[in-house]
This record gives sequence, structure tokens and C-alpha cells, in this order.
Amino acid sequence: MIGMAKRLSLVAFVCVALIGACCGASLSDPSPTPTVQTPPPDLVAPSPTPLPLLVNGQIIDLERGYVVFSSGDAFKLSAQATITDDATGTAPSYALDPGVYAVATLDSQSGQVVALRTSLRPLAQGTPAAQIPRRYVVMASSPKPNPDLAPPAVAYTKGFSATVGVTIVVSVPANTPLGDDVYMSTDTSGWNPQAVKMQRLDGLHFQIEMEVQRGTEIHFLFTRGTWNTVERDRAGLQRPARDLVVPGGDVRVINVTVYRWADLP
Amino acid sequence: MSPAHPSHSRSNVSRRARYIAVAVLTSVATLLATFATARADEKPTPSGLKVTIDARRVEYFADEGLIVARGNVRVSLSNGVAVDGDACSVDLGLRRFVVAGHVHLSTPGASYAGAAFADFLPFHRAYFIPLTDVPDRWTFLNDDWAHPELGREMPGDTFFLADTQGTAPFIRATAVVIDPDNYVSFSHVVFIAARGALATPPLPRYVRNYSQNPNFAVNSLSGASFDLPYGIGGSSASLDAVHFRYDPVLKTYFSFEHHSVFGGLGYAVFSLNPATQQPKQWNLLAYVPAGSAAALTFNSQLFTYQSGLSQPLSSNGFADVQYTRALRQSALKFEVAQSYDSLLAPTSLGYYGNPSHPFTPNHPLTAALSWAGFAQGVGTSGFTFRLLSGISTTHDAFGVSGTTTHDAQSVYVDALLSSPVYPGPFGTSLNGSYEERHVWLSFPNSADFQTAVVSDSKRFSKVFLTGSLQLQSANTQRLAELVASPNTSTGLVPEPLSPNGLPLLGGVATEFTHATNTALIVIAADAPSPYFQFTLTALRNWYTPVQEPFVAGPAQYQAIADARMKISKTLFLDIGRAYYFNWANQVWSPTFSLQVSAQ
Repeated sequence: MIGMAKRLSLVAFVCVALIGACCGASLSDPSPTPTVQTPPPDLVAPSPTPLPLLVNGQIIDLERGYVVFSSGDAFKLSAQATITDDATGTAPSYALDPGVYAVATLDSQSGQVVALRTSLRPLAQGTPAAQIPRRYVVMASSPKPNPDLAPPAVAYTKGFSATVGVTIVVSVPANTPLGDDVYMSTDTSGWNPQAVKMQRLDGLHFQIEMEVQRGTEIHFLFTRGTWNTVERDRAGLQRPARDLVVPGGDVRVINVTVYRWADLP
Repeated sequence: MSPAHPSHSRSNVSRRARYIAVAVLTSVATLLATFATARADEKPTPSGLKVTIDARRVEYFADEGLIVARGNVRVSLSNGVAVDGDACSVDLGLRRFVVAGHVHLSTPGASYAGAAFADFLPFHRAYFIPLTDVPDRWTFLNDDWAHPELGREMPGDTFFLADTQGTAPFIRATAVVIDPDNYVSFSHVVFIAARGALATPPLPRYVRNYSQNPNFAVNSLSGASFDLPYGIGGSSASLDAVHFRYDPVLKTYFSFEHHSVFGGLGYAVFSLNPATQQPKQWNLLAYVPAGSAAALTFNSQLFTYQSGLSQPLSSNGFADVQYTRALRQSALKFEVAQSYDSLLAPTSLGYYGNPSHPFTPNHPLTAALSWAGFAQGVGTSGFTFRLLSGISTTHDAFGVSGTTTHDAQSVYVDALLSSPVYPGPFGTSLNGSYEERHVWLSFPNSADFQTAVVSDSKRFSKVFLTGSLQLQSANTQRLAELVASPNTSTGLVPEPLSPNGLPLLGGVATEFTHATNTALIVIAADAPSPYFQFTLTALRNWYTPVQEPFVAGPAQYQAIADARMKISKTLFLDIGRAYYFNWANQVWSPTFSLQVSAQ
């Protein structure tokens, strides 16, 4: 009886462990699926035969026996290195100017590039140059941390979307003519007075919903369609352009007020 | 416990002093490090540098805001730094550039060979991969070209060259001058269209201004249904542009406009419009801030009828100067306007050349002082009111507004009461306003204008519906004895909006001593996505005393449809047309209104 209980509890334990493992696996990593990459050899299980290391990126220079990628990472070219076009497998028919994409095969023992496959289009294979173990990257100075690259301490950025929904609601003066539209004039449009047309919400409010890239900064002013009808401050004096900075994160709603129009008292 | 030995005591003191020194040094170092790292959170600031790029081929991709240069590239900065390389890409939005391939960097103190150079101009960071014997990573901080930081980690995309494969450039040139915060100026320009199928002949220069200063957009050109500006010169404080224009009367012509900006809010705009037709307008607008609470505004126009710059056949003009001063809860404006209906000496015939250019002796001078109160709340009701008033005097030796009176004075008061937006029936939003203006004129004469508006709005998902009822009336004792000029401070409506000083009711000039218009306006707007908007406006006008085609009053019924859609990353198309329900045998508006412009 006790043996049966032990066996049951063992089965139950295994089941719970399996369920836990499954749940854990499904919850552990919410990050988006990475692109196809070959993991660097020192990040995978040891292999009896060293794997070649594939470096992917955009070449910005190929000279003095080095190939330099757009991340700034330089790799030594082996004296026997071959350079071929990725599609044809033959020598490239185009000049290897800065901007050509490539996958470099590193010899994991010497750390030198033994083969370079190039293309005018981005290539999917390999590991981005910036993620290659630093011991393969040639650099005269010792690496030094860069405080500029530290992520901001408080700002939350929404990692899954490159754009942010921004809603701007503007309250207009009571003497705004009923039939007139209200627009946003922006620096990004060269201050076109009809750049962004707003929707009338009610007798005193207009709004616009926009999808804006994270990190965008827009300067803008409201108009009624021409520069003679641009907004002014309460006294009727010119006002500086409004400033909208979208650092990232979730949907934003911005409420602003126009006190006067240039052509109306 | 034994007493401390003097030498022990001395060594303790010196050790303490060392500890203190170390503590002080550590604190200072920590503080310095804090300041150094604080830069990471700072906002970008204008670099003030000008970047000149010469290359075998320079291409500008307008939608992407990119400039790509290839072949014998030389990038010269206005601080004396020069970079040579095989290729260069400039991101005008991010204000950074990369030079790559066989790079040669020349700084004021030294020269280096390298693989790539990148300058993040607004952050005052320049990144360099020197490549002599062994590659390295150098970062030049805050324009210190003598002391690079060696080995400092760099952003991952530092040297990425913009990929423009499959994208046709908008401009091809051989050199470009870039003021990162204001403009780009291309030399030997070829404009490309239809994905490279069409190209213009080489043009000497093209300037594109993208300044954050909105005063570059102040427009002094009027009256064209098509306008194509072409920048021919510019700096961080100025822009010169030639405009190719079309209107149904003058057909095609060229105009010229010059902009100057100064002091953040100040500007001056001069224009000649048209420059290539006989009727010419010479415009000068200026806005000069006088401290943070006052400003001087200048608005003048000279009209001439002349071929080229020959002796004008006829000429008239006006100049208007305003001084505006903000007070605690209101603003004062002093305004002087001088008009000349004919600026040339009179002829014995009474006209110049032909009767369509008559000599008119009038040259009224108007001086006025007006006061505008800010909106004030009515207790805690949510209602607000505004009060406005003004006095003016007008002198014309040849009679004010065609009368025999040489001097006329006016006084006006205006009150505007407006409600907040209240929840209405069926989930609607309800608001209203009432405005009353009374003008006393010394002719004697008087004028009254009233406007009452009630609006009710409802939103259905992406569709916005607003219905409004507007009642307007204008009353005067005598139509002839009013003041119409460029001056708004008389309390009456200025020219050219109104020919006689009375407001436009339903969009038409008031030509009766008593006129009213009641308008029912329904606006439906649909915005299913940020890339498409559709607006339908329906109007019903009831005009008294006479509402009849070619006699008086606006169309009884009118519908206006307007659709706006995005046609590229930076351009939109706006298309609209009105329907008049057979008013004066007019069914549709004569043409579609079409606008393609930047967004």
C-alpha cells in the first residue's frame, strides 16, 4: 500500500514537474522570435570539431587585410581568404564598395576570415557582427564602457512596436468660424499650413489620431488652413512652435488649447 | 591602554589625511562621472556646424530624408575637420552622417587613415575606426579633436550606410551644403521623376529649407490656384525662392519671395507677385518682437501696373503698422494705416492709359487703439466671456469712404459669451455661443452685428457628426457711410474681405441696411485610418431680405465633399468639390479642388 502511494506520488510529481516545465517554457521568454542565426560556437554546447563562425553584416571597408562591418567591428582576413558572390558562388561582378552585405566565415582557431560571401541585398545567415565574441574582433585599445549607451532609468519603451498611437485634442476659441477646418502645420512638412487635417469632435474641439515612430520629435502649430490664420498667444502675439516628443511606450493623449487665431480678435 | 606614541599619532594623522584626500578625490571623481554620464539623458542640441559634401555623385532621397554620396567623397565641416572616403550617407532626420571606405580624417591637429567615420551632430559625438597597422575605435567627445577616447563602446548602428537599393532619388547633384538644423543646398541639380525615366536638365542650385522655425513659412503671396516653389538661395536665417504659379486670370507666371528670420519669433518677408506680368504686388511683411510681451507688426503692399520695371501705368498701396502689448488679462493694440488709392500724379483725362486705371485721389489715414480682454470664466458655471473695444479716427482730405466728410471717428464694443461642452441627449455633446458688436461712427452712423451658434455633436466609432445652427445679422443706418480699409481696428470688417465694412453673411457681402442669415450646417467626417479622411458638409441658408441668384444671398442648399488620402510617405492628395443644387443654374462647382502637398 505504501509502495503504491509512493509510486502514485512519484507519478504525480513527474506530472507536476512536466506541467511546470511546460508552463515555465511557455511563459519564460516574451521576446519576439529572433531572425535565423547561427549561434557562436562558444555559446552552444562544446563540439568535438569546432564549428565555423559566420559573421553577418554590412561591409564598410575592405583594406589592409581587414574587413570592417558597419558595427565598427574589424576582422583579420586570412591570406587564403576567398571572396565570392552569395548567389552565384563565383567572384562578385560588382565592386565591393562600402554598403555591400556579406557573411564572413571565421576560422574559430585563428579568428581570421577564411571566406567572404557578398551580396547587394541583406543576407539572413550568420550572427550579426556586433554579437560576435569580442575575442575575434581586432581592436588596438582595450574596450571601454560607454555611459551614453546605458538605457534610460525610468522611461518604459514598448519593445514590440516601432510606432506609438498619439491622439491630439485641441480646444479652439469660441469665435472659430463653424465651417472652417483646423490643421496642424508641422516642421516635418516644411510648415505646410494644411499638413495634418483634424477631425471636428464638437463645437469647440478637434482631434487627430496618428501613428508616430518612437523617438519622433515634431514641432507644430495649429492653423485654419493658411498662414494668415495661424494660432497666436492670448494677447495676439506670435507664439513659439509647440514641441511633441514621443519617447515610446503606450498610447498618448495630448490636450492643448488654441487661445486666438491671427486673423480674429 | 597605553597612550599613543607620538609617531603613531603622526602616522594616524597622515593616514587620516590620506583617507580624507582619497574620499575627496573619490567624491569629485564620482561627481565628474555623474556629470559625464548625465549627457546620455540630455536632449540633442544644434551643432551649429555646416557640412559640405563633394562627390562624383550626390543623391537626395526625399521620402527617406537621406543624402547618399559615392565616388571621391570629401566631407568638409565648418570647424575645419575634413573626411575623405569612398561613400557617405547623411540622415537628415537624425542629423548624422557616415563616411566609409578608405577614409582619411583631417582634424585641425592631425590626420589619420581609417575605415569609417560617423558624426552624430546634435550629440557632439564623432566615431572613427582608425586603420593603420591594427584597427581601433576612437570617439571624439564634444568636438575635442585632440583627445579621442580609445576603445569606447559605440552604438550598434554607428557606421550603417543607408540602403537605397530599389529607390529612385529625387535629386542627383555633385555637391551639397547641409545646415543640419535648417536647410540643404544642392549644386548642379538634376531632378528625377517616374523612377528615373524623366530627368530635368542640370540646374545650377536648389535649396530645400526644413527649419524648425515656422516663420520661414509666412506667406506673402496670394491668389494662385497652383504654386510650385523653388529655393534658389538660403542660410540659417534666410530663404530666397522663385515660385512658378498659375491662376485662371493671369495664367502662368513667376513670383519671387525672400524670407528673413531673427530672434526666434521675428521675421521679414518680401515678395514680388507676379514678377512676370504687368499687374504686380510688392509685399513687405515684418514682425519684430519688443521684449516678451510686445511686438511690432508691419504689413505693406504696393500695387503697380507696369511692364518689367518700366514706368508704371498706375499704382496704389497701403502700409499698416501695429504695436501690440500684452497686459495682465488683456492686450492693447495701437495701429496706424495709410492707404493711397493712386500714387501717380493725376492726368487730365482722369485715368491712366485707359478707363480701367482711373485716378482716385483718396488716401485715408487711420489711427486706432483697441483693447482685447482674455476669456474669463463666469463664476463656476463653465461659461466664459470676452470683451473687446476700440476707438479709431480716419482722415482723408478727399472724403472718407467716398463721402464728403474729411474726418470720421469710430468706437466699438464687442462681447462674446460661450458655453462649455455639455452632455446632450442621445450621447451627444452640446455647446453654444453668442457675440454682439456695436460700432458708433461719427458720420453719424452705426452698425450692429450679432452671431449666435448652437452645435450638437456625436461620435460613432470613427465617424464624427456635428450639426450646427448659426444665426447672423448685420444692421446699419446708412450703407454709404461706413469705413472699409486694411485696418481692423475701426470695428468694421476690412478690405478686401468686405467692400463696405459690413460682415459677409453666408459668405456673401452685405448690401442691405438690415440683413440676416440663418444657416444649418451638418458636418460628417469619417477617418477610418490615419491615411484616409472624408468630410461631407451640408448647408442650408435662409437669407433675408432677398435670397435670389445674382441678386443677393448665398445658395440655399450646398453640399461639399472633401477626401484626403496619403499617396506617399510624405505627400497627401486632397480632392474636393461642391454641389449647389441648381442655384443660378449651377449644379457643381466649376472645378475640383486638388491639392498635393507635404505632410
